[in-house]
Amino acid sequence: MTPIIKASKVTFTYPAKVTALRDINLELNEDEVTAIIGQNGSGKTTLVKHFNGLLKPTKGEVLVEGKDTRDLTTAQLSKIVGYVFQDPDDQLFMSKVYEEVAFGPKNLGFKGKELKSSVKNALKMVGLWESRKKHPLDMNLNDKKLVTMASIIAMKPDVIILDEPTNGQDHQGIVKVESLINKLRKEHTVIIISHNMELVSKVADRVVMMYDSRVIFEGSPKKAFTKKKLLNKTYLKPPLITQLGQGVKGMPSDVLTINELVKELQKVSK
Amino acid sequence: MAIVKFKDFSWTYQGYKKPTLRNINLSVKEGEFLGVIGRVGSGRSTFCMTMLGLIPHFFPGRIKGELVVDGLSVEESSIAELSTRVGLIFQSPDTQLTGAGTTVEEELAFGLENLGVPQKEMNKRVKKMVKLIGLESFRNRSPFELSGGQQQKVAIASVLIMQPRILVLDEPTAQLDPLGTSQVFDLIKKLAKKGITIILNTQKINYLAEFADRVAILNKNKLVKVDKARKILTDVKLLRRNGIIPSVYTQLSEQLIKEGLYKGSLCLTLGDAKKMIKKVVKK
Amino acid sequence: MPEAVLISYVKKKSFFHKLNPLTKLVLAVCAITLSFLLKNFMYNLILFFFIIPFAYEAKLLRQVFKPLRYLFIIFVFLFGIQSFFYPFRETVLVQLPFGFAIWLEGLLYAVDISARLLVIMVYGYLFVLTTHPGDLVSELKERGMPHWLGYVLITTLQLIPRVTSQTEVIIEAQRSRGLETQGSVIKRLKAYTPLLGPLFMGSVQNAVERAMALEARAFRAECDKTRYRDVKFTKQDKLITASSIILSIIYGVVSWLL
Repeated sequence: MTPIIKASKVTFTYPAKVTALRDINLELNEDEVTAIIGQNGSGKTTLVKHFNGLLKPTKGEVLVEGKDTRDLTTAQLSKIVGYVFQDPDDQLFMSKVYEEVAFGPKNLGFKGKELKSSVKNALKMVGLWESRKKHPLDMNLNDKKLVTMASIIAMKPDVIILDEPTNGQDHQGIVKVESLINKLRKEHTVIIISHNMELVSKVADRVVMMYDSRVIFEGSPKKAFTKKKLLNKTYLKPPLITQLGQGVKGMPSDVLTINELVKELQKVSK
Repeated sequence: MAIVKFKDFSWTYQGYKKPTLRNINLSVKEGEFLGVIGRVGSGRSTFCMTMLGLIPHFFPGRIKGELVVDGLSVEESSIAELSTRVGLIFQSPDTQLTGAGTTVEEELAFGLENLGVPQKEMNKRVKKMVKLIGLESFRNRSPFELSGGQQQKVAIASVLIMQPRILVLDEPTAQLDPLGTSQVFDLIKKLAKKGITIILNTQKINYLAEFADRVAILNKNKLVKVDKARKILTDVKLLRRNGIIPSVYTQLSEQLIKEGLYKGSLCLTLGDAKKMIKKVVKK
Repeated sequence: MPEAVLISYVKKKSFFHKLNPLTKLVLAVCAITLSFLLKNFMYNLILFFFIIPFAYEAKLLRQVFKPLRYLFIIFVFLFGIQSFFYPFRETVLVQLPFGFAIWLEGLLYAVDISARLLVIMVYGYLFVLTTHPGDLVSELKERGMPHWLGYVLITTLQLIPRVTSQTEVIIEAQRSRGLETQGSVIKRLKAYTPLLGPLFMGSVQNAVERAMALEARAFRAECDKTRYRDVKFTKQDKLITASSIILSIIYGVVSWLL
């Protein structure tokens, strides 16, 4: 399988001479959900900004579908890589949800039927088709966030990056985001940046752990959450249910869901 | 004795037809730790703003009923008066730094300058606060260069320095990373131990499970229920009815009961869950 | 970089740094006023070089002269325009073809202005480099400046970088939605409209939140305010302030008498 995004030896230094990425080698495969985890300032956002060309590597190269990001503008790359920013208030500006979602596809030259169907499809996917005539700024944070996601989905990119998709949302908002990611994974490569380890454990196929501008781990969530030393170093804690498994003798240290633990207990008690 | 008392309290923002808080009755005892949970848009943030008097003195609108905080009627007192009794912390670490201080120390001292506290006393209190939040090595740094968690600690200290007896926190960790979140919760825990009355609005119910004395649920602008933390947080029907997902450990115990593996009360904390598993395994 | 947000203040341990902000301000104002009153450019050049001992003491000798390179372009225009087109021209210095000429009066005028600019630049800049804005505001408050104005001055300095970074995020968010921000002027102007909404709404929201934070810190308490930043006006300050003023007057008068 060829990777859809390939970063080789990527180093990035900001103009103020702060190095935010050091020697990153990473391959992201098609139709996988990758979660990038790590504390603020570890380089997560800087890394994903390289995937849609907002930043270009100081050293090394990033290939997106085989194309060097240095040869393309962000606008051109946005056809392939969609990036949903963390704070909806940084991007919402239209007076109707429908128009907001149509903005991206229009920039890409979508017209007529294609435009209509992609907007409709995106809004249905996030469950906001009924709210299409509302003013985005009148919505609550849960829904605002879903609007920004729809406005990227409507551009039909192959890769969708979600930066802190559950931040500031209530429990129901989080459930909605989770189910949306599960829908998206069928047709897209999904990258999430998240501090929410419960979400990561539920949706990610692969975890990329970052610390001090480097990737320090890459692998399945099951493996990631058993790496005690690495987790300690990055001040991350495994999901609550995993912590429970790790806290009781005789229990596996890599359970990620309630069901897994229940099954395990059924085995033991038989 | 109640240090905060809402009596049939309702609040309607100007320009709105429906009240954002409806008929709230609630007493908070001195030294108590009250958790507040609920959906987005249930009125929790507005609830938090009432006690400092931002409602009705900062936002225009209509009050019904009464709210008394540390002996002062909120409606009749100024925010400045209330600010020495109630400290209010918001969600965004960045915007609640006033920018009045070019260093952490100055940001901390700002409230005291406003109150006309003599310089000697200011120095003393600033020193104490810097130590309390463990930012000694950052005291001459610009607060805007700190991490989110550190900024939030500065924000907390900068209201605590005015020596309020009540601290109200409105989702103080919603924008923080896991490290920042645990830093802030550690500080809150420390303050609770010192006997400051704490009212904490948060989505993170596993933290509430650890330290809250009581928990209040808000939904659709009403106070649905307030009771002992454990009682509320393990009442799964009540939680779900109000859009709150029970703790993972509670869910696990539910599941185990359903499967017939466990008989007993629902779990809430990691400690409970460990005990439960040991029981199940022994059988 | 503890002072990164405070544009130009450079922390150094020096006698000059420790002076009261007002003393330094008086010195700068004296020099700048003098630069307008002195008889000719020679006196201004002397004044210009007179900064060396101060800058040396403040350990900022090189930094003080750094911004002079920005003056270069201004000088080019100044000399270019004045030496050809000075309105009170009388004496031709160099005759050029097509009736153009370089005029002595114009040239002198350009030299005059340049020398004045040099003085203003270095004295003003030395003040900025050696004075912490917090100290200046604290001192001005002590001298009767309203408390709120002090707040406005300090926060403006601190928040400019915040607004800039906010703007960057907004631009990035829209570029990620296929907005092309490069190209013709019209294309670019059009591109910037989607940025205005979020920027404006964001500023309003931040302003409201910050105002609430101010309320929570008893900003509007009605009492005599105190100051945390301790700025003293010492005997040395008195001495330097007085001698700055007196020496300026003497120098100004001498320049006209000689």
